Order: sequence, then C-alpha cells, then structure tokens
Amino acid sequence: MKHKIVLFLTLISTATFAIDINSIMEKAHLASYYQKDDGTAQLLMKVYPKGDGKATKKLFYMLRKDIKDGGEQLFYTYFVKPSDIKNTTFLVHKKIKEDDYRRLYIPASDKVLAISGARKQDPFMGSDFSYEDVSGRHFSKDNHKLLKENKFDGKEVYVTESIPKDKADNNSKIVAWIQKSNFLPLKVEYYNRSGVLYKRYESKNIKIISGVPTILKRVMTSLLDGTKTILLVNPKKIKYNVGLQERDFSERSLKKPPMKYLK
Amino acid sequence: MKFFKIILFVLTLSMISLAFSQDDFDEFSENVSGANNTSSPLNLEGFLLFEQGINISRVGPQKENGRDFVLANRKLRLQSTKSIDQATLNFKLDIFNDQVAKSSSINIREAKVDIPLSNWLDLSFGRQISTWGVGDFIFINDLFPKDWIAHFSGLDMEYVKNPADSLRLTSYFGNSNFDIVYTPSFSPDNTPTGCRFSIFDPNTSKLIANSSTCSKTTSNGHDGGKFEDGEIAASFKTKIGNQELALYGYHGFYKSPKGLKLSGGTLSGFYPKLDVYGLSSEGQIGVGILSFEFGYYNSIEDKNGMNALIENSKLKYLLGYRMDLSSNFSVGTQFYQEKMLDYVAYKSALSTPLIYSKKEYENTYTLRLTYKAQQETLWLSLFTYIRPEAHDSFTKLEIKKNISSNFQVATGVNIFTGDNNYLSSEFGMLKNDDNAFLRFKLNF
Repeated sequence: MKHKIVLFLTLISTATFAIDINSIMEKAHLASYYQKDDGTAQLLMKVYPKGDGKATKKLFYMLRKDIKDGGEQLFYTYFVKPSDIKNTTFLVHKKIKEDDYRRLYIPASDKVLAISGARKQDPFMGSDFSYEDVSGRHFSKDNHKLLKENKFDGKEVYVTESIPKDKADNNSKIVAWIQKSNFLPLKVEYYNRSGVLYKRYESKNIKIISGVPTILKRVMTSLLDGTKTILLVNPKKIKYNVGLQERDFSERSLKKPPMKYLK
Repeated sequence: MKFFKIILFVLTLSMISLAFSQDDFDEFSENVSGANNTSSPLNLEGFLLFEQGINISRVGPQKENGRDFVLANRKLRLQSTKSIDQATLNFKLDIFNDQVAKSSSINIREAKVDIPLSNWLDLSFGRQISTWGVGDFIFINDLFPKDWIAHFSGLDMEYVKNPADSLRLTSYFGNSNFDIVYTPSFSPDNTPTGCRFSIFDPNTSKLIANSSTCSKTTSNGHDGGKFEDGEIAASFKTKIGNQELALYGYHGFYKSPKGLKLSGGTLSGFYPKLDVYGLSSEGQIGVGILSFEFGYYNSIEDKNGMNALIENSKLKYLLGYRMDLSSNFSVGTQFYQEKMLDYVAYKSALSTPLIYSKKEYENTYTLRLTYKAQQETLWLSLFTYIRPEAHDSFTKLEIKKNISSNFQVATGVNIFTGDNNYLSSEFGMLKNDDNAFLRFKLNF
C-alpha cells in the first residue's frame, strides 16, 4: 500500500512539473515576433558575399502591428539607404492560413507592384534571412520535441528539435537553443532535406528595452554558400506600443510614408 | 621615469581601446536617417550617369545618314525632399548633355508639393509621374505620358514614365481610394521622330531618319493654353480579400499621333480626342499574380469609324500571370488584344494602303524572364513583345550588376523585327534600329 501511494505521488509530481514543449515553442514564437502590440525599429542589414568581399548595406525602418498575438500581423518597411532604393516601401499583411498579401511601391515610377506571398522561404532582399525568418515561422508548422535542458553561453536553455510537417519544406530538421528566462532563441541550426546543416542563426546581443527582451544583433550564416547576413537593430530607435493603426499600413502609407514613425 | 612610463602605458591602452570601441551600433550614426529633417539645409542626393547606345543593325535610314550612336547621355541628377510644416516639397533635376541631339539641358523630372488636406485627403501639385493600371509595359488605363524612346533605348524604368504638370487629389476611405489627376496642358508620349529612331513616312510609305527633329520645337497641336487642351484622369481602387479592383476614366487625347491630316499636300500626324473607360483586377491566384485590365477607347473625332486617317474606337484588354519558378528565377506572361470597333467602316474607308490594313483583332503576347543572383546584386532580364497581326516584335535584354551599394553597371540590347509590307507598325518601323547600350551609374 505504501508503495502504491509513493508511486501515485511520484506520478502526480511528474505530471505537474512536466515541460509542455508546445507551450515553450509558442512562448518563443511570441517573444521573437509578437513583442507588445506594435513596434517601430530602425534596422541595418549587412549582407556579406562569399569570401572576403565587402558587405552591401541596407538601412530601413520597420513598423509592425499585431492583429492577434500569434496570428495575423501587418508589416511596413521603409528603405532609407542605399539611395537607389530610398523611399521604396513594402507592405506585408502576414496571414496564417493563407499566403501573405504583399505590395511594393517604387517611387521613381509611382508603381505599386503586387508580389506573390508564396515562397516564404525565399531570401528577403537577397540576404541570408528568408521572409519566414524575418516575419516568423508559425510553431504549428512543425512537430516539436524537447531534446534536453542545458547551458549555452552561460545561460540556461531548452534545446528543442522541430520537424516540419510539410515534407516539401526546405528544412528536414530545426534545432534551437532557447533561453529559459526570456524564451528568445540564442542559436538555431537548420538541416536541409539531405540532412546537412546548411544554415545557422545566432542572437548576439540581447537587451531589455522598454521592459521587453530585444535581440539587437542577429546573424544568419549560410554554411554551404559561405555567405552571411548581420541584421542590427538601432537601440536608440526601437519603440513598442507606439499606437500604430491599421490605416498606417495602407496604400496611403506606401505612397506617403508616415514620417512621424520613420525618424 | 616610472611616472612617464605609466602615462605612456595608459595612453597606449586608451588608444587601442578607442580603435576597438567602434561596435556595430556606431554604424547607425554614420548612416544618419534620411528621413525629413526640417532643421538641416537641403540634403541633396542623386546620381551621375553615363549611357551610350549604338545602332547594331547593318542597314537602315540611321545608317544611311551615317549615324551610329542612338544614345549618348551624360547626366547629373540632383534630388531632394524638404518638409515645410505639413507639406513636403520634392524635386528631381537632371542636368544633362545629350550628345545625339547635341544639346545640354536641365530637365525637371519632379517638382511637386504634397500636402495632406486631412487625414483622408492628399493633394499633390506640380511636375510628377503618375501611374496606375496592372499591365507590364502594356498600358491600357495608364494614359500618363510615356517615353517610348527611353523604352526603345534601354533606359532605366523610371525614364519610361514621363512626368507631367498635374494636380492630383487622392481620397482614402477604408480599403478604397479615389484618385483624380488633372493635367492642364496636354502631355503626349515621347515617340520616335526620326532623330535617333526611324519613323514611317505616310507620304512615301518608307522608313526615314530625320536629324532636324533632334531639337524638338514642333507644336503638339494642343499647346494653345486652352482649357480644352487639358486632360483629366480618375481611378477608384478597392481591395477585396487579396485582390485589388479598380475602375478608371480618362478624358483627353491620344498620347501618340494616331491621327493623320492632310495639309498642303502632305500628311502629318496629330493627336485626336480620346475618352477611355476601364477596369482592372490584380492579386495572388495560386502561387503567382493574376492581372486583368480592360479599356474602352472612344475615338471622339471618328465616332463611326468612317475616317481612315483617325484611329477607330477600340476595346483593349489584357490577361497576365507572373510567378517565381525558384528563388532566383521568375516568369511573367501577358496576352493583350485590341478589338477595333466599326471595322466594316474602317475597311471601306481605307482607299489607299497608306498605312497597313489593320485586322479587327490585333494581339500582343509578352514574356518576361528575370534571373537574379549574387545576393540580388546581379540581374538578368528579358522582355519581349510578339505581335503576329502587325508582323512585328520588340525584345529587350538587360544585364545589371551592383558593383557596390552605389555603383551600378548595365548593358543590354534592344531588338526589333518587322515585315517590309507592314512598315507602319510601331515596332516594325524600327526593324533597322536594333541597338546595344552600356550604362554606368553612381549614386550619392
């Protein structure tokens, strides 16, 4: 009888403290892509070619509004440099169950261009980050498993393994080192359909800004191509809960950038 | 001595740390935000451009006139944006030397003021480029001026559209907007005159080159400063799901000389009156973008089609689809058809073959292939128009490379095909004007 009670109590305690991997992945997704209700940031993207070449740099602002946490979002990008893309604007209405709605505005010819939202894993602006890396890969796309709990770079992490449900996905496996205290990914390794590690993501600088753990430096390395992209967030110009409205993400904003948010 | 050594050591240490202290974020202060800065003076930006193009056909009127270069531009672009209270002033100026026309000029590409009149109404007045419609190098409801010479010479897309002095009022409500563009002085397209591209002479039915037209001083027939010489265009756009639908209207004139008139025994072109009503839709269907556009061209000066010298009313429509085949390669295709109305009247009125006898249905097929590589610093693109009934075609091939963020090199060819029995067709008349170009552009 005593055995049974002990066994029963052990079972209950294990169940109570069992780690829900899906809950971790959801928290990680929200921590990376859905901070507060909206945000504005100035970003510098440095794209390094293979070899010792100089990086091509792009400076832009990004506005984000969450329609629903973990759900649809609105993104607006305003390019500042180099000068041949200055004032070019890009609007994305990120959808979950269907392809994103995307429009690009080219000011020199006053042309609004419709862009297909298919191919989310294609490079964003020629960089090593894909559209999915920039706007978020929904956690429901994969089956997750907790590999272990560990220490990485002196911080307590969950090491997770995600297998895409769609066999046509570019990835066969994604392994992530997620910091326990803030649910941000410190490192993510991507394996292609041949099982080869082809891409690695690292967060290099995390700071608390307006109470939100924010990644200020992101590095994506394409190991097979030998290229690398560094995405920097200007710590002096990142803001949360600015009060962005849906109308700030309309065709009017494509043609007339809302300057009050872009400085 | 010891004290001196300590000072030296501290100084060296501080110098070393200074050298390594520039972290990534200092780069943000170098890249000062280009957004409007009312306190600073004009922050001029622009580019320096060198472009050269040669005729690569073996024969033709240009060759007969001993001319090889069709393009020889040296251009300095200066542009700036300035905020004054709620208004924004934008200007783009090209200071350029055209070695083909043997002229230097200052071309104001943009000089406009944008004022938000309320949070749903925007006003824009001045010289500006306006664009709408969903065609790819096919314009049905976009009757804003185009520079076809730029298109035939391989110039950057921004030069294929020409600015006009207009008043533009745009009102926004929900997912829709209503746009009106009023252009008081008729602004036609820039079409070949014989200067750098051959033209069809209806008086002789032959192709000719004419260097006297290089310095354009001829009137377009609607520059008398009268109210009736203006153009007005309007569009209503709305978004339903991921599709964008639009309605259009235009009241003005044909943008290229689609009318011929006889004066003093010679035929010359003029711009007849035109009204256009149309609609379009564009959005993602499947993995690509499907576009549809329709326009009814009402030729006001030839309502019943009995005047063979003035273009008949037409129905114009296009259906296009473009998609990415891989992360590097995309393809787009369009089917465009023009249906001539009052065709019977046209055929009976056509007494002499001054211009080729057009078919009731004239079709254009376009193909666009784009290949991007080297992290989107290298672009290869091909665009072709094939017109079976006009027996002509036009193909543009371009290779563009961003050597650095600010320095770009481009080269390409523009090839025209035509039939000797159909020399008056728009691309056919350029059959001996095949050209190759080289362009260097430095942005600052």
